[in-house]
Amino acid sequence: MLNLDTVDPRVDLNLVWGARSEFGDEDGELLLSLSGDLQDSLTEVLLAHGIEPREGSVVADLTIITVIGFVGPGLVGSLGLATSEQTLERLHRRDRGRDSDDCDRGDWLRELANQVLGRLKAHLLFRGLRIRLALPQSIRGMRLSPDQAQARRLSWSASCGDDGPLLAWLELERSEGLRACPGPPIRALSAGQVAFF
Amino acid sequence: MPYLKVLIVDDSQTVRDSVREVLTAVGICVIEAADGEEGRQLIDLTPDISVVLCDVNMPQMDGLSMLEQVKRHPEHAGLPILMLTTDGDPALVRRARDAGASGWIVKPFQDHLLLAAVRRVGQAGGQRAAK
Repeated sequence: MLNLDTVDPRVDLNLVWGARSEFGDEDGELLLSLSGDLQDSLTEVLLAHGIEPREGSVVADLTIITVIGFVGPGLVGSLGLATSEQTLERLHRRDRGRDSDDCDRGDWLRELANQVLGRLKAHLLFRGLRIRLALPQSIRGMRLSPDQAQARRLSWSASCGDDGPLLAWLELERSEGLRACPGPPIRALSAGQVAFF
Repeated sequence: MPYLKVLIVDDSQTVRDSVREVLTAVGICVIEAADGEEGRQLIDLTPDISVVLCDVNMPQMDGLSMLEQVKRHPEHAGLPILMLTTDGDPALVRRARDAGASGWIVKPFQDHLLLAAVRRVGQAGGQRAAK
């Protein structure tokens, strides 16, 4: 068993945070929206890679986890993706159309997480929340288990058909005054969009 | 089509492979760097680069810092640099535009749009290389 709280991707951000508070009941609407945003972001990115996800449950042993930290005014968090080696191998082959080694697959999952968080950032911008992203980090092990007891963690389990399950989660903490932080909605560029200057 | 040499700067081997497959399939030469510092050095050492595709969030030196450093040199002022990133934040897009980038592409990219963008800005890079 692995408690992800011991693998904190935020340490590299070198930021000192003041008093934090957990999300309270009054944040329910925001959390519900973010949960939908997570699902939409993952679905959008997987579809772009030729993988059609549907909601499912994770039954396979998780053996690889990728986490990316992020920070914004009044908000700190991380996005995580986890799956099994077998599923990762199938998903990678489906996207890239060839066999791969461990290094290829790990990099592929980190880039997938990066793209999901990029889409999630677009959703957050539209809610007036701007975040900065850290670099993705991966860990491998046997029967890894993200700590599900964290009340602030939003998760979504996707079944990628016969390819197997993929678990995505979003961990959030806010500092006091998050409510004052959101600005007007900001429209980010969409995935695949090209802008010339 | 004129000869094009594209430098892809991205810390993800997956992205570098994807870009290389799309571009080399139509005869475009591709060279690679894994971060902004390596990319900046390759640009200095390789005068016939036609187009640079550059990620934003990278170790060592991020893509926007690389863009700003490269564009400060007069000999690179005409080098087309397209940012290729998961981030569509308009504040970052403005920073890239103000620093002299030629465009911004949001990953995951579509192969035909990436190729069209490289060809569109590549002409200016080819003219730079011919000088």
